[in-house]
Amino acid sequence: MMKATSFILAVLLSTTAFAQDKPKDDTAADFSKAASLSGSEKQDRAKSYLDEMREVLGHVLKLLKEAREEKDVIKVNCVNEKLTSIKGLIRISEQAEMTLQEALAKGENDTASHEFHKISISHQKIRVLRSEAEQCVGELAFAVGKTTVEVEVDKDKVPEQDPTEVNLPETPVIRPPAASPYQ
Amino acid sequence: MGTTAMKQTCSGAMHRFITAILLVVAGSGLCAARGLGIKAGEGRLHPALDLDLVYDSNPSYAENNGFFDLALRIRPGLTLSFPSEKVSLEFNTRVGYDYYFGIDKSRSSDLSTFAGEASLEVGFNPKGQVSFFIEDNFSRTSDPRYNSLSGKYDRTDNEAKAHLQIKPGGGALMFDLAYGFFIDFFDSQAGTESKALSSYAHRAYFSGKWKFLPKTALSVDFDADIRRYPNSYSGGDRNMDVNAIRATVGLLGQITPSIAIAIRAGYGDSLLPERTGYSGSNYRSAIGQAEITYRATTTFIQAGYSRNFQPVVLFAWFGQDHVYARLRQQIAGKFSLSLDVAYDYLSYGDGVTSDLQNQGGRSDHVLGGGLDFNYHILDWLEIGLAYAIQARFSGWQQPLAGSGGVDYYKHMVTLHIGIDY
Repeated sequence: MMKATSFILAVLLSTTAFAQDKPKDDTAADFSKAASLSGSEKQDRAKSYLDEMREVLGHVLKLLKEAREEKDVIKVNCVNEKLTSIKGLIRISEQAEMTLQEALAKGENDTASHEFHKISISHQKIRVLRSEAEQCVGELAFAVGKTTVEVEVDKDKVPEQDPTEVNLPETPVIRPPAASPYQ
Repeated sequence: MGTTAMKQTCSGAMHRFITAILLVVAGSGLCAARGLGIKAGEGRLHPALDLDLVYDSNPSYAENNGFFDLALRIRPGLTLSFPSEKVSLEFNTRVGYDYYFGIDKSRSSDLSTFAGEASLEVGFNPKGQVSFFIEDNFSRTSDPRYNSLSGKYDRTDNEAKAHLQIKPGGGALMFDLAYGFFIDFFDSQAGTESKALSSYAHRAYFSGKWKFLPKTALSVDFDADIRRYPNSYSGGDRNMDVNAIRATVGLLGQITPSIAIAIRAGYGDSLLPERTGYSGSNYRSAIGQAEITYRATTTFIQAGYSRNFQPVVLFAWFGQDHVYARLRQQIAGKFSLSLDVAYDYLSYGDGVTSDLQNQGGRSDHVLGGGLDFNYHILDWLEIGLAYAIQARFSGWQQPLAGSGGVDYYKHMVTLHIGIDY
């Protein structure tokens, strides 16, 4: 019941995200790819999403502090609203990450994909909320944040293995050749 | 980076036997899957256990196929992995016991022994433009001696390596520079010449690559093996020191989404130092490799040829022409099939003692093959059955009267249970 409720909440919150005029996100790709991702890939990606979400939380808290210092009630309220949503999404994602790990440990791939979807949606929503929070304090116009470029690679056309990555040679341990009486 | 077959958790007695002689590259061996492990801070801890029950038709590599035996190899182990962008750590170990039942000859139970291996890699800024790695590979083995019921080669090997990696140009260029110190120490055993087999080596490595396409690179590689044998045989002779160098240029690349090639060509030289009483020639020859790999979703096929040389006791060096083919096939997501075949032509330098020299030049033909079938019950649990054959053909006769030739063949059947949680 808890699982269903949290997922519905995440989906509802995400609807505004999809309505935004924004750069093409990777959530849709994550949905289609989630099934093909291995357990450890899901886990790694979920962790990086959560890290980014927490980073956004810190950033928005900073914006809130600045708005408070300016004593601008409108800005404070606007940022606070975004902050509340961000906290809720992080809570959902943290719970989903735990359930994801549990599902992977039990080998329940469908549940793992479901939980991974939740985290992906929250992650995308939080990105939008960050922009909205920056708009609240009028930062977006001159924000020069770190630009990230994500490249989707079709594994059917470009394989994961890189044949140029070759380890340095090992020193072989060689069995002495047979040669009585010396061997 | 740097390490090792162990990193891929390939294990098994059969592999050890084969690699000892054929120098089979562990590259894409049949590897046990690994579970998620136990979370330890930012890292993960993977306990493991390998149990191999091995039927060996000829443990002592006897020419006349002297006796057979059954061995139980028990290898509990641990892998500790701390990935990090600042300081990463990877530690692998397998330590256990080989128990010989002494079925055909009761004395062969004396071959029972402790054995193990461990590797450690610490990486500083491992994913950065400039990275530094400290690596160590350790092994303790006790393989049976030739034509002996109970004699063993009790030896300890270790290579410690410092490795600098620089990747300028966003990874388009990659340079590796490393120094390693290698020790191959044989326990002193009464009535044997084992002490004289011990050696140490200074190893130097350089590799430069230019990735002119995302998955295709031109490479230049160099390595040196300055091998020294500090101890003499009882007759006063000593193994020849070797100052081996190898240099190659090559092309490594993805030709199509499923086919990759590796082509290297260069020169190798043993650079034997001058020594009174030894007039043996150097290994001075072209070396190289040509390999093609096909990799589809569940299929891996590789075939190749390599030519190289290595320092060796008693004969200073041996040249090796190695032809090999491998197949790995996953079936229905739960089964894996592995097939290996290899042929080696080994040509030896002159013997370091007069009685070895009197036996004339030596060259061996070595054949090896293996078929391995595994059922992956869970991500971290597998059971498998393997068969391997090894054979050596050589016209060479051993100097000790009555010792005969050095030909042998052996069959091995292994029942394997592997846990890697």
